[in-house]
Amino acid sequence: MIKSAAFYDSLYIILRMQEVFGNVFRGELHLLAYLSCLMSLYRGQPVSCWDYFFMKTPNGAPYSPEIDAAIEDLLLNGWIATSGQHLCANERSVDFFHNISELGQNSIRNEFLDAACSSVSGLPIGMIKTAMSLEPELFSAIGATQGRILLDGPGVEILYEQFEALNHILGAGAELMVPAIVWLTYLSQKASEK
Amino acid sequence: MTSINLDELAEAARSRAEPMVLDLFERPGVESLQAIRSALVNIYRCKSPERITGSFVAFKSIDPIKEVLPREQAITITSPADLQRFFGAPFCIEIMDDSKYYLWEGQVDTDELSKSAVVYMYDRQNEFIKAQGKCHTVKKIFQGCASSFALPTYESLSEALRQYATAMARYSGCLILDRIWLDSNRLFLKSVPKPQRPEDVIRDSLAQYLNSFLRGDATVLPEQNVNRSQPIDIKVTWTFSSSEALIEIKWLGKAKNDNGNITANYGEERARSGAKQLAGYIDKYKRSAPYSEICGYLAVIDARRRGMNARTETIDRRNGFYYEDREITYRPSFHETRNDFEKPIRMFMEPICED
Repeated sequence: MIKSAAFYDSLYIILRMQEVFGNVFRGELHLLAYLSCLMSLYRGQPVSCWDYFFMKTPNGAPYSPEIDAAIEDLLLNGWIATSGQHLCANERSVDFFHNISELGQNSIRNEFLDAACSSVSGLPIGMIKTAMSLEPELFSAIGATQGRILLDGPGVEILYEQFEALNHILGAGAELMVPAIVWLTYLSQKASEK
Repeated sequence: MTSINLDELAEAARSRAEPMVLDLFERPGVESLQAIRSALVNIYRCKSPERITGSFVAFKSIDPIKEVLPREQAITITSPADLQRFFGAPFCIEIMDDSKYYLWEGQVDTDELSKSAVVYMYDRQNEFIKAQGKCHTVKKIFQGCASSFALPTYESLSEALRQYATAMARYSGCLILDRIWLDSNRLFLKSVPKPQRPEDVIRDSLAQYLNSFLRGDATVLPEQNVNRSQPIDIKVTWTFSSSEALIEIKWLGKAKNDNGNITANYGEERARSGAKQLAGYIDKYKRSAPYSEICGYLAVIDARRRGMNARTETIDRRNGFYYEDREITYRPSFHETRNDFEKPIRMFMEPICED
């Protein structure tokens, strides 16, 4: 059974990344879906509201089986296609997306997905990937058993501490894209010091 | 990851233009900044910022209906490629929502513009964002890149290595790479112990570049063992593919210690032995990871100059650039006989010449 939230998030991210790069890699999709989820936590939503979960890959990157299932479903039904290792949407999927993007449960997610996808124009995606390796939950999962569920471990407390500090510096009502980019810049700088 | 450092977080916030623009123009300001970013990506695809010698201004009005500058006096530009002929003398463009630009030649009052627009200014590799008279100096996201708005992304490792050669190695463009030189004219490499040896510094610089700009599911891992005792300089793996890349780095040129003695003098033979070494690594690695698709890449950092001895302090262009276009002949040429060995990439590092 495909999770509708994962289906929607996948299509959203594919279309946004297609505007920037012309395509998206699977790993980028998982990464941006995870960043979107973190942005929902920044806004105070509980993890359970995200509707699907993430694990860490052996390389320490975030991965969601539900996102993977959604990608397969999108491929199977012809909404997207593969080209080498890339995923690309077509015109039909753009129209379809516009029809579903304002539906109640989807529209709530737009703010978080937009913040994550917008950060790609402020930092190269490679730097975002490197920065995210220091995201407290992914970082605390280093060395943990492969397949550990993310946002269910010791890093969550530190994550909330970081978000509170961001809130303090930028103000609680800041456009979500701004704390996203500042936080990633901070993590990126920390990563470059390592 | 330990607890957050508030001072460093505040510094990260100050290093970005977004908080300032949000503070002064709220959401429409951030959207204008986003539009400027998107436009600059397209503009810099047509004209590399490294090649822009003059200055220019780009702005996005907070209210697109309002004319900040008189549009009837502007030249209408429909493609970023059409901007080419204007670079060299100052000009200003207004970024419109329909991928169109209005262009005015000459200098403009950016303080006045910034009252109702987010303004971007480029001046000889320095960048600024202005809003309501406040000016933010854009911090270089990656040292060596002329613009933080034209940062590259590469889908293929070969392309990334070639660009590293051009953008970074050639001019010792990043702070890390600049550390390999003993002298300011970039004649001798530093002879120092691990982990500051030239090969260590080059590996760290290249790994950081690949980590930052390689797209996809790539993970860049410096100094990885191919077996129990032999480390490869960099290994790249891809999460959703069985592809793996082994990158071996060799430098050519002369290294000198603080006492002024030449401690190493590497020529072509070192590149050839590096190719053999890499071929051996690939074979060994294949045995330990039979289901991986391995490909080897040899990066040859070429810092050779002609006619130097231990006392040389300056060099003329003829000798300094003698090896610039002299390619290395590989025997055997693994890149022609094996399908798991890419053509070696020679990265010439320019000296600073006296003429």
